[in-house]
Amino acid sequence: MDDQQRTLAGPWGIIILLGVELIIYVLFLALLLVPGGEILAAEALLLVAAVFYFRRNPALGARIQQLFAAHARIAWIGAVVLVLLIPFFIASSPYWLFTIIIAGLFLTACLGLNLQLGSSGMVNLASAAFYAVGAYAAGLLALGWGWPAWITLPAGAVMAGLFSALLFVPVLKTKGHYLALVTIAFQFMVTILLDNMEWTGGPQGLKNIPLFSVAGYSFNTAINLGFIKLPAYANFFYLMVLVVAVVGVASQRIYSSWVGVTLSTIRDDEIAAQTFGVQVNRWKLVIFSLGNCFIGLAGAFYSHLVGFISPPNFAFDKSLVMVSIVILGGMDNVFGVIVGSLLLIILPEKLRVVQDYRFLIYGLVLIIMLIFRPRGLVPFKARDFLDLAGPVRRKRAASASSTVSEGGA
Amino acid sequence: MTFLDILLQQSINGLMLGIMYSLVAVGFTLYFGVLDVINFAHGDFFMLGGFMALMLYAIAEAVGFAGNALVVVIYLFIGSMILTGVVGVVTERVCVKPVSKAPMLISLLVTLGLGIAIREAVRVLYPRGSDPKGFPTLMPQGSFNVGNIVIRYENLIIFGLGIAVIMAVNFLINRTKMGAAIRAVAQDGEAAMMMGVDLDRTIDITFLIGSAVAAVAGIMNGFYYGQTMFNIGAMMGVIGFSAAVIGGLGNIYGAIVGGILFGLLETFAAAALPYGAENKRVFAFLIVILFLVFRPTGILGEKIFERV
Repeated sequence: MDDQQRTLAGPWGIIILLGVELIIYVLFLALLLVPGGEILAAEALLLVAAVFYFRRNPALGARIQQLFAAHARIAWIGAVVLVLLIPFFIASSPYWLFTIIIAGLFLTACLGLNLQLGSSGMVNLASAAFYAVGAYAAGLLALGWGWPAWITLPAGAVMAGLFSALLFVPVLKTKGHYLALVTIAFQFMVTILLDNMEWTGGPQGLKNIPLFSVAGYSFNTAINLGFIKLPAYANFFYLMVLVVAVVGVASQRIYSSWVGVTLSTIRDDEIAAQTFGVQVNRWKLVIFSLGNCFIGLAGAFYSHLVGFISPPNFAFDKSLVMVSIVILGGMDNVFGVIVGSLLLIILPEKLRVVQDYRFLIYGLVLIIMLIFRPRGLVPFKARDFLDLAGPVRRKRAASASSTVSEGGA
Repeated sequence: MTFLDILLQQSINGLMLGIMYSLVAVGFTLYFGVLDVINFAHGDFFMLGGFMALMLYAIAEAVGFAGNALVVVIYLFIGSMILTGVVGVVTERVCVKPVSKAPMLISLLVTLGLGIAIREAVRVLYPRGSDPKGFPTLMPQGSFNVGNIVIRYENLIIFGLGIAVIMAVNFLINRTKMGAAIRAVAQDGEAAMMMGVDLDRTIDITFLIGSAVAAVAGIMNGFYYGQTMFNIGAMMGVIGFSAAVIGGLGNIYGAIVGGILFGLLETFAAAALPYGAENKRVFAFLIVILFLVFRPTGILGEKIFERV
């Protein structure tokens, strides 16, 4: 351990770490709160400059990464506190709070999609269809039978999981372009059916779905704390943070467990995985359903957040947005999905200053990003098994590998 | 009308649509052959073809060139084919070819993004592009009867035109040196290069042909329905891809058969099933999924075994 690393481990390291988090936080809030497009342009320039700077000084980036790794717990606490404070800083603009909640829902759904797409290599372009299943299930249960929202939320998730069974056979029998076509076809089938079926409200959809309320407390009431009044969306925001936390932790646990390793082998070489005794088919079905559960959960939340759903909310372009979040953020990588959903949901809203051109810009940015950075903003790293195994085994592995290399030489 | 009459009438309607779908499916099959990519933006070239024709028609009206309807129609088709073909080649060079060696998901998303870009460019750049655009009536109107079956002149012309274009493509691919180059590249790009085939040029020509043929389908669609809109491409892309897969991806005859089959499926579903008219595509897509599960190589495709 050299001098620099020792200082990083001490209190100065913690201060620098919190400083980095705070800078990112302030830049993020400024992007939302400062009206007009100039702030977007300025921050985009700053980002490009930072990327170039870190390219030329990779050591600095590596040191910041070390810093976060050394104080992982403090970094997490800092990040969580900052996230929980968001409603206080943007209390003046409920619109942005709403947009952040939507980004959180997309994040939830995309974590599910990431399990399918990123972790196990199953293409699913019908994510909006499963989002619709969750939303309609929650809406119909709440409207028809008066189920409270805290039951319809998991019910929507379960329903989306059950609907996955419709695609079980194609998921096992096709892959690549063919699976893409199957899921696109399914997506179109669901949108057309939603449009034509009477019991889902047809093109008008479902209206007046009750918003969240728990034990008589309606989420549609503003929070008055005396010194500050938070808009009603703050309730939804905290619930969203809870949902994202549950789904995010679950995803991360799956990734770092043996299940995640199993999925990686399936993604990288199915036949090899099978020859080594991995139950490819079983895991594919489990992950396909689980991913759709997450997506359905997000859909059910959406239903109780806006109170009005109709078929265009769940069209193919929503699937496209979800897939691009996962791919642009970085596949098989929870952190990447977080970055992706924040960027892809909030940027288009910010681009409202250019009104008509924003989808055109969206398409072009998508193409340019993928051609120049095909592995996403936060490319996934090869698994570091030595690090997973804990310090004792790490030491043992290190000595083992050194003997191996000696033997090889 | 007897049952037979209905059957014949629906078959004719289905064939009409089927020819249109075939023309789009041919592009998917050609691109998959030479570049191993599925170009999900291809449906938007179909849409672009229709809008190019509208633009050319507006220009012709503006300069006062609107004499013989036949001349105008030919001018619309040729002009739109050239313009759409050029756009196809340019986009292939800029964003399809660079990702053809990337993982399948990347090429998928890039071509989907390209589709969005084309669609939105049309919507933003074309005057009042968000509205449905009426197509001029240049074809002879009216109809004649064969027994109880009604055949519109316009449809007959469109149908004949579609058949002619399909035959022309077939001739290009199977009877010319250029077509031989395309087929060689489809079989094995590197081997074709060693035999002196200019790979890049062949790919360019393939995209020129594919986009131009899609443009023909787009104009046919405009005349058939009397209008077009900027967002019809996405659905047509899925239909074209489905048709290519039903027939057997990589096989030109397969694309034609698949397209016609899809058209027939749609019209029969609309006529025969309860709630069929609005749900015809649900039925057609269901058949597509069944095809993919039970016969993924399509009707005319060869069986592929995965080697370890």
